[in-house]
Amino acid sequence: MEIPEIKPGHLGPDHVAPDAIPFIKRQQTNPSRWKGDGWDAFVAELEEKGLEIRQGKAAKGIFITDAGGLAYGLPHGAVRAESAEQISQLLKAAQKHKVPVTTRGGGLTTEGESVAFGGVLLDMTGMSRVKKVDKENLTVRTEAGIFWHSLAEELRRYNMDYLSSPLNLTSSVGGTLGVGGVDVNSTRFGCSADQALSVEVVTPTGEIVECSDSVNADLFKRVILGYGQFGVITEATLRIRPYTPLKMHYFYYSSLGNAVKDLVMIDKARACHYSGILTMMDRAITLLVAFDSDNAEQEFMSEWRPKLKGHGEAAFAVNTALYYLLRPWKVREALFLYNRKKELFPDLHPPHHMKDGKILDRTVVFSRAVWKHWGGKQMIIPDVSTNAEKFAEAVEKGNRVCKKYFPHYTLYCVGIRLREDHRDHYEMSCIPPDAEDIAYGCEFEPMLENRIYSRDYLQSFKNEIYDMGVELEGSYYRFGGMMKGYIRRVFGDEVVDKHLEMKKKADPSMILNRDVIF
Amino acid sequence: MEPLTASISPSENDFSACSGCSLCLLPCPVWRQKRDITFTWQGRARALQQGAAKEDLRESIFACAYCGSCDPICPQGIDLRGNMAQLRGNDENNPFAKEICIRIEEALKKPVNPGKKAHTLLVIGDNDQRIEKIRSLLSGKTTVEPASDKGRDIVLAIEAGLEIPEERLEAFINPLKKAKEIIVSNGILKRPLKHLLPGLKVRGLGQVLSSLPQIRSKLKPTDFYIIESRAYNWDLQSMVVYYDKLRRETGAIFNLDLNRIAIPTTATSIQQISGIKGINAAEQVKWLLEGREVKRIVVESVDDGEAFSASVDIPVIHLSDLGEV
Repeated sequence: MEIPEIKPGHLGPDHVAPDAIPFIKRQQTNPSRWKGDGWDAFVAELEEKGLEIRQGKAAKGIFITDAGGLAYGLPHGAVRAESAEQISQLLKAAQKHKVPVTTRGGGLTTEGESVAFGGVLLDMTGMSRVKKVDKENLTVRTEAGIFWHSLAEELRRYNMDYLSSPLNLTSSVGGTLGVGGVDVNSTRFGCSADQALSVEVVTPTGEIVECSDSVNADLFKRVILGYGQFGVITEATLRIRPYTPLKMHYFYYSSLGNAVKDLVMIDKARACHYSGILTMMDRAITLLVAFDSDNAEQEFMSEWRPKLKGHGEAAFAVNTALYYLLRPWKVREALFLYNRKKELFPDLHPPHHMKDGKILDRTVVFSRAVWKHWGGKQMIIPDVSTNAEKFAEAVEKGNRVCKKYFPHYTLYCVGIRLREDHRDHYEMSCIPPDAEDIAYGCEFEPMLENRIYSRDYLQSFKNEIYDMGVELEGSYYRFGGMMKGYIRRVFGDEVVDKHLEMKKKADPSMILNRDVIF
Repeated sequence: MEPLTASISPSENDFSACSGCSLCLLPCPVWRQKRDITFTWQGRARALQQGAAKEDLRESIFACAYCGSCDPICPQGIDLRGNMAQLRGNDENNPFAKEICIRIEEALKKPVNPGKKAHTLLVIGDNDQRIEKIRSLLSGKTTVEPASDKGRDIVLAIEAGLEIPEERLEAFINPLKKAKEIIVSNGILKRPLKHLLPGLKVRGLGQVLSSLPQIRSKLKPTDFYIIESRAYNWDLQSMVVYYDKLRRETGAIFNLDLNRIAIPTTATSIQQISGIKGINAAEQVKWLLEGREVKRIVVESVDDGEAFSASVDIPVIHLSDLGEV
């Protein structure tokens, strides 16, 4: 079988990944391993400068795959990030010797974006200290390899909190700023990337630059939501806010369309502080709404609750029981839903994380629940983002794809409030080009439940979801890595070539996060 | 008799189940100070999955503070304590072995002291004055006596992953069989004793003292209460309920992180005791106090108290001293 190799810095015209369309020849999805030309001279130069590069099996093996668990690759050596100066020296030497450098934070990518196929793996978690919490100006300065959870931990000491972060809190701040970062409060505050006021960046050629909307703004535009193509984010100043516990309400739906309509309605009206949809297949559809204040909660319950089509828990239980009583052949599905609810719900309200009916530590509750109930050695989470108008269609179509491939799955939908002044940041990013005010995204996550699926089967599923993104002219909350073949299809040649040219200019040897996008 | 280390029950899941979620990094004091993933369970598990040799992991394995922070947080339910004990125990170059063997031999040379018979026995490694104070606080309807054998060498052997000679283990365990309840100051003993003495109640000293009304009533919202991390983390499910109630009742600040894991000072870790370079307890104390305004530090463990006294000017008091404040 012929599998054409994709050269670094080149995106070929045939963008079809395995099994997307029958009878079209396969194209390489994982990059070919960098062959190691010049490695010894590169290592010698680094060692002369006092930089430690770990080449042992154990040190490299840690980074063999990412959270997706489908892409496997080993670097030639791993470097633990210690300072911007150290990274600068590393990148300068890498440019000179043309050695690829792959950055990694929490390693929670799902398409191999943080897996090194040869070259250097730069482990950013070495730089994970909080530098300063400024309660007066509501900012925090932190090293970028820090996990969101660790940031929350330190902020809580000062009774402060971040604005929005990814649901999975062992994502790193730097990685998130490069990709987006969405959570149930992104509809209120925007994605995590939009919370950055300024960042310190080491460019691919080794310059250490501070940038923001007002200083080195062009670099800031490229680095934020830039998939690590234009620099390594080493520090960030983020907006923060006073900590508040949150009160959560759940409304249950039996129709995806109605749930999506209600989500869009309450988001548009800014009726609540947190919102999202979480489903068990398309049978147990939950609209989550939450509040930081009692007033906002009361206002919502009096003004917006009556307009929602969702039920309370008791009514939903009765409806669901009736549904399955009339369909006895679906008894397995009913049992699955019942057991799932029994296992999951206590973990969403652990008594020691609650006070007066409010969740004290959402960072912990949600993140642990995600890992406990959805985590595993493989996590398949393709997603699609669209504007508000197309969102219901995307969810319905994606649901049909999930149903075709897996008996059990979850859909997770949230919105992102957009910043008009950051329009330029959004080009070729997770924000769909036609979204106004709020963009929406849906993650489609099969529950693998110890079943063994072939890589091709999983890839076929992902491709059907990704194809839908192309069809709807949307984007993806996560793109790159194994699915980079979709980049031209979804963004178009003009935009991609423009960014490719910028990349070549910024990174002449195309060393930084090679193969993630270009 | 079954070796004590074998009582640290193996899980169905070993390191091969690690999915790389990084949750074990979050409470790890070694991670906090080193910021090096190779010194964490995730790093070790991933390296082991790739066939790492003993030599590759030795430094990491023997740097672990064995505080139990990572164990309850693993979503895969990997028995991190048990795996660590095995890794340490299977290493013929275990740096703690020599020192601990000497201690065990010394203990074996001493004549076996059957000790006094009492309802409650205290396996407490503190000085005689403190033990007497604790004894008088706990004596009431039942008799309380210090155990004849403080088992310090046994605590160290468990932490080092070393097998304890049967003769030594029997000398330690047999006198305890006379009691109905055992109270331990080092939480590392809780689970093994529960396993070896199934009919007996085994509790941590901190839990016992803090449940006394005369002590509980003296805890204030401005107190920083330092839970002995091993007793708590290694029995998290029940301890989190107990201490959450204590926190709500007293308003005191506790050394718990957002995951409700007890942050250790690491003052009792084997590295501190053996003089092998471990993590810096003073730095750990600094982290514990960061952003916190406290007027008094109340400790369950004397060693934790010493770590605070050495680093800060804030008054430090042992929980038992509250009985007389």
